[in-house]
Amino acid sequence: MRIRRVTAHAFGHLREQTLPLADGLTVVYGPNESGKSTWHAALLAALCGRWPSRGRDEPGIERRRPWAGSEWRVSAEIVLADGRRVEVWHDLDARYGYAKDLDRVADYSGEITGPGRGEVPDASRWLGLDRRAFVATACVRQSHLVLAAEDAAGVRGYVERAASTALADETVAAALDRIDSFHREQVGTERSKTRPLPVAHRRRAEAEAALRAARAGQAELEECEAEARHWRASAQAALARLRRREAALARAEAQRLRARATQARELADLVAREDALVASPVGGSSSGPALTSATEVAAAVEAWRATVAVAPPAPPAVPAVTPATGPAAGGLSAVPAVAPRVSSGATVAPSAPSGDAAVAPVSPAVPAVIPPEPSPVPASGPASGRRRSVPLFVAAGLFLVLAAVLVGLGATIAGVAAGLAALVAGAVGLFHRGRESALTAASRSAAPPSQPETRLQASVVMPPASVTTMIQPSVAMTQPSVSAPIQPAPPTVDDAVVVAQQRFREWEERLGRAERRVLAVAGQLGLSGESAADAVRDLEAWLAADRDRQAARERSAAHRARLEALLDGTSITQLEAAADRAQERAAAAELEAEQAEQEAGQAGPAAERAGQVGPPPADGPDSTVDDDVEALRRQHQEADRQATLAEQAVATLRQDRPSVAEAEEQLAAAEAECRRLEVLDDVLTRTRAFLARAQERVHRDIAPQLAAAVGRDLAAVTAGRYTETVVDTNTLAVQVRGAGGPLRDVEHLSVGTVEQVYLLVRVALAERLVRPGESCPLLLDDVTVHADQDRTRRLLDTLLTVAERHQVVLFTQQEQVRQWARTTLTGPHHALHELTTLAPA
Amino acid sequence: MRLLLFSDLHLERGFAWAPPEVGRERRDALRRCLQRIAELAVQLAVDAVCCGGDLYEHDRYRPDTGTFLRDVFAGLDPIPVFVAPGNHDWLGPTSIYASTRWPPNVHIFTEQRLTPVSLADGLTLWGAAHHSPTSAPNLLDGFRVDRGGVHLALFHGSELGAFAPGGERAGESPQRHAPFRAEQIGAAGLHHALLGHFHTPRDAPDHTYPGNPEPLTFGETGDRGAVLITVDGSGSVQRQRHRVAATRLHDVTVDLDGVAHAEAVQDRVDAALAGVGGLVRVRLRGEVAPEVLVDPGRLRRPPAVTAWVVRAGEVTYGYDLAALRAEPTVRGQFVRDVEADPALSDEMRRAVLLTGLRAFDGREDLAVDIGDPDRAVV
Repeated sequence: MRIRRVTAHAFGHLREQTLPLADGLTVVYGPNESGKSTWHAALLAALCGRWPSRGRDEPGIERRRPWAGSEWRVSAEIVLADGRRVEVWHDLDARYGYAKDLDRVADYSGEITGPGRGEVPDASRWLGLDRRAFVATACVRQSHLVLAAEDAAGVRGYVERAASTALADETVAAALDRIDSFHREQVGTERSKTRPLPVAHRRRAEAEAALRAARAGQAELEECEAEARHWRASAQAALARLRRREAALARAEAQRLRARATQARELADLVAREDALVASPVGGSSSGPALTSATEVAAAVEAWRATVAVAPPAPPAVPAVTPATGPAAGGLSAVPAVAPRVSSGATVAPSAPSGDAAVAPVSPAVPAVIPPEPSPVPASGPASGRRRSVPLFVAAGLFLVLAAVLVGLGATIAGVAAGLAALVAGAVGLFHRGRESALTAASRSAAPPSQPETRLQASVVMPPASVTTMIQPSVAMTQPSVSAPIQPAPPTVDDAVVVAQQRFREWEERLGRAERRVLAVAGQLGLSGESAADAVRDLEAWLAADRDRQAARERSAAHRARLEALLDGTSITQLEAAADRAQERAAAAELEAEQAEQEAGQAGPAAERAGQVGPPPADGPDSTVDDDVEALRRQHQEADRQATLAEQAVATLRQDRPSVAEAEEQLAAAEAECRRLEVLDDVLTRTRAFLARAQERVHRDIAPQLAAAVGRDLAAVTAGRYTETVVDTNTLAVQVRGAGGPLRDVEHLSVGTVEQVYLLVRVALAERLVRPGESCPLLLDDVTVHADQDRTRRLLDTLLTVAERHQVVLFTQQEQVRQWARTTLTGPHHALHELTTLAPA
Repeated sequence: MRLLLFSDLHLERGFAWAPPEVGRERRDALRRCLQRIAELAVQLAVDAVCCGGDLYEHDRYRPDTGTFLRDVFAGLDPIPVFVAPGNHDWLGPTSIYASTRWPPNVHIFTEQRLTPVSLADGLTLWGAAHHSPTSAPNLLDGFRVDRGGVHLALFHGSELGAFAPGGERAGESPQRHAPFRAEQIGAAGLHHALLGHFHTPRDAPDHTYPGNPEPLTFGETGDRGAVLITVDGSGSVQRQRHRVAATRLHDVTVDLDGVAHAEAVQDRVDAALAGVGGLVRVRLRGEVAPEVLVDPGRLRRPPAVTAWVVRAGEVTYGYDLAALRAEPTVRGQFVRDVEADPALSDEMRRAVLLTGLRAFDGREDLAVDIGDPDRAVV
């Protein structure tokens, strides 16, 4: 590429001005403020257009808007290696441009416009560069030379940059350093524990552990919850059993209490009835017991009866032997007929008037009540029997003596008759003696009124055998008595009658006293008997009633005692209330049991396990209800305790339990960070590897090319002092040597030589960097400003050499350079343009 | 008979794309969604509420999950609630279904086979439960209704027709729980199947997938929610979908074409998110100048946006790769080598190129967004 001219249509202070350029070396001379830098910027703007942004490599175009007017335009005419003559035109303000063929109608804008948005035609792309690379390759400033000369690695660094990015950006070494630094800081290795990647790995491990812990906690919680449900179900089941048992007990207690209350109420009724009986009035008008005790009444009655019972036989009117019944009946007729009542409806059978009647058998089927005689019967007690038996025995004795006499006298018949009479008399006497004993026993048995009725009845009711038994001993006992009176001299009949009469009178006196006594007692009791017998009857009735009251009183006391024992300090109402409460407790316990069973059942599988725990207490022979309840209670308490412990454990677990979802999210975040860093690690590692391989490859290629290019002009520009150039493949370090001399690092040569070598390297790199066949113009800006005359001259000679193959444009303010150009650049291949100082605006 | 069907609520789910604080918000939203479903059931005066499974996630349930469900369902009383446990809320001895004391209006299907419940005279609902998180069998194999009337089924299963031969249904789990074929529904004597498992809604002639009612991730499409199912005496079904989501996840694309500096990226994002709140996934795309730093971590989240996911994987940088490729430099060689390496994935190739070129540029932002899964930030 050769630039024929540059036209500043409106650029800085330049307006419609054109700067023609030679194919070889063009020197643009001008003092300060003459517009050299403006033409330098206008040249770049005409070739490449505006930079997309104000970057560090922007060549100052943005500072050169037109001083007047709105247009900001430049253009250039270039000739490509293929012969095309092209005008590149830019409206910088509109960021618009084109590239048109000047010899034919052809628009090459598309060829040289980059792909990015806002791109404009860039003629450097025909060189295989872009605007940044073109500036870096084509533009040489004095500072570059200074840097190359003063910095030990200046030339090499430049070569590296050129080799790396065509001088546009960092060297590959810098890029690798940047990647390494970034890798170290933003990723790190496992050895650097505080760097992101190891930290991320550690956090991921922690998050994994946290998630494992959360999941284990979840599992533990599930297990504990199941355990708690199991124990709660067990407790509820045990509670149900306990409540069932308690309900049963409460029901039983209620039944017992109700039974007690019922029994107590019945006892209370009985007590009330007995008390009413005790309080009821008994015959008579006076309050007898207050004046006369039952004992006194009984004593009076007993005395009368005893008196009556021992009534002696009445003294016979004539002393003759008569049947015993005669005087007895006569004697008894004077005695009031008394049918002593020993109990209500029971009457002791009176003595029969004859011995046959007295021994009449009593049927066992007959109740122990002997009906009274329909008419008063004379008393025939044992006394009267004894009274009759004695004379009979006497008579029997007399007849026996008489019979013996008559037999002795020869009056056999008469004697036998007398003996028979003696036998009869003795037999009758024996009979009366036996009956006497029977009546005595009967009278004795009837006497005590206080004896229990049953005993009275037992004594009264005697089977015929008993009666016989009672009689036989009497007979046996009479045998001696029969024989005994016979031993002494028997009394006479008259004596006996007198004694009998005496005894009878005494008896009558006793009877009178007894009658008066009973009448008095009856009177005290308000009983109005006509006779002593009536009085005795009434008194005995009174005594019977009194015994009934006493019995009622005793029964009442017994009932009351039972009632008190039954109530045990409480009342019937309280008992009933307690029964009600027990029933309510039973109902409540049943309800609670149902609820507990329901709750136990709702525990699902836990309830099934609960059924296996705490079997109901065994109803063994030694177990009691209390034992059962206590056992059930212990079971429930144990299960409830276990359930409570398990529930507390569940509560603790729930409280402390981390969220599985959040732990998963933490782990996901940690994994994402690890993944990001691992990917970044991979990307950086791969990038570095690609860069290193590219560097190695390019350096291997560029080193010999560079050495050849520099070496081609080295001898000419150094006047033969150095003839050979070597470029290190790895470091791109440039070394030179003279003929047969040693290699010397270029940085160790003189400043002037370094500057010369640097320019040759630039040219060589420009040749390498541009598309094959093309030539890159070199634009130099005051590169000799700080050089002495000798260095300046040597640089200019070098440039002249370079200009044989490349277009070179040198902007300078040095008079030495202008003079050199005037004298040296004489042909059409070179040109000198002298600018004047701008007039003040 | 009017039934309100929903499924796949996934209470207590973990959100791998979200940081824990966002995850907590999402889980709260799931609970609010169930409450909205209950409110809708009352509002529509439905005859029953049916859940097709995955009501909650067993592995992640919280101490109060059972209580929450019980209270919500109890609030529906006397409307009956039928639940057919799925693979995430499978019925086991330790599941919430077993441990919670449910109100009387709640019926949990417990058998791993279809069992009947009479919804009305002549209308039977057949339901089943999964008993494990995997390996649930085809619930329709060998099943046949045993009585007259109209028959509905409620279970959690994978209709195999939804899968391409040998492939997977887009956006769905590849695991085929309780797989069945649609033709088995009618063959079993069922008039319609109320289903759960697929999160993408589907109204097929003989079955209905309501879809997840509350968003679980970004990019969900379709009219998801609760479905009012009206069944007439002939067994024909009318469907009306209701949106019940408590929140919405937004997908916003921001075009960065022509952006020349980092602040312009923020301006574009702010403009795109004007009026948008809640959870947002921002996808940055377009070509920016090579020197522009597009770093999602440096973007400022608008106040109305509670959390967001910013993806910059589609952003391209205006490097002139053609020119670079032609350079006889290390950089040019690098570009050529990277582009030519067949072992690199496109994403890795892009990342390596960007990293290398940025390193040559002397830039600090060498970390390249390379296909990271969604990660929300707050």
